[in-house]
Amino acid sequence: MIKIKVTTFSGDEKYIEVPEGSDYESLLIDLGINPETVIVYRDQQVVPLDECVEPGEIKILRVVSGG
Amino acid sequence: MVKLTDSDKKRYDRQMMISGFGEEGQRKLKRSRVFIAGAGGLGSTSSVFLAVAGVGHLKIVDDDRIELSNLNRQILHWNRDIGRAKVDSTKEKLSQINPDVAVEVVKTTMTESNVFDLVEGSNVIVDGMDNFPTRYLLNRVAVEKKIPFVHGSIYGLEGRATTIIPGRTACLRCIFPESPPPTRFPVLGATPGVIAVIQATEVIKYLTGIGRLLANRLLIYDGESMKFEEISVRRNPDCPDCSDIQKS
Repeated sequence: MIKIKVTTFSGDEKYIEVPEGSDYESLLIDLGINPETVIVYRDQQVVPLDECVEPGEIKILRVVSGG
Repeated sequence: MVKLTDSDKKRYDRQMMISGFGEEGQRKLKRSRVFIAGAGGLGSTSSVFLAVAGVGHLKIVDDDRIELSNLNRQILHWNRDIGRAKVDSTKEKLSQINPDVAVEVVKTTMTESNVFDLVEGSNVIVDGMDNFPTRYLLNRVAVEKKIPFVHGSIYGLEGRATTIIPGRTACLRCIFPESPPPTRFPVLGATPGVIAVIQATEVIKYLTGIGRLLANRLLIYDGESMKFEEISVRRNPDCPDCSDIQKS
């Protein structure tokens, strides 16, 4: 299992564990977040959702569409 | 060559004092054409700051009419304008704010079939839209025509901004691959104000060549905690919108 710290756009922080080989898209789905509504970034860089989860910390940013 | 009049030199004196700006920067603005997509919360504020800065030609496209519920944020439109086309209100106000700026407005819905003609001749495209499908359309046109595209979006007390330079930076689709579902978004009027002023600053920096653009950087504004953050973004080599231009 991979342990990861997740900070959501509301500022909530949580630690979760996901199986080795999981991608960020499945992580979001496990968290109950629609992947179409957010981007994920780590170390100030956006990560592709089909990339495998690595240990550490990620932040989840809401995609906002208003103007 | 575009010349500055005595009136120009007085009106723009304070900004021409900015390092690297000068009379040459003002001449660059005067001969520039900026396309503003939308005359809502973002577009009405960015257009004001582009007009007062002396951008020579502003083209604003919007298909909507003013409603009472717009007035908490769309500062160019006033109580007496309810029911008017947003572009008509925009043209009237901007022309009064700065009569030296040519303001062209088009009341239409931007679609695949008209957007290429609409942006023709523009030096920059400003994103003042409220939905991702139209933003993707503008992104594609910007990429194909190699016109810089200054993105802004908002929700509640949050905002995002980035500057897309086709062929050099991530495009909108590289950063946001999926369109979020349409939503009736909450918004404090000051939020599009913050983001639109950043967009106008980016446009002016690009046109005059001063400063460092928000290129490959996504600026995140969180008004609730009152903080700004930025994240790096990268081109997606498989991006359906810009991978061709990356290879060319």
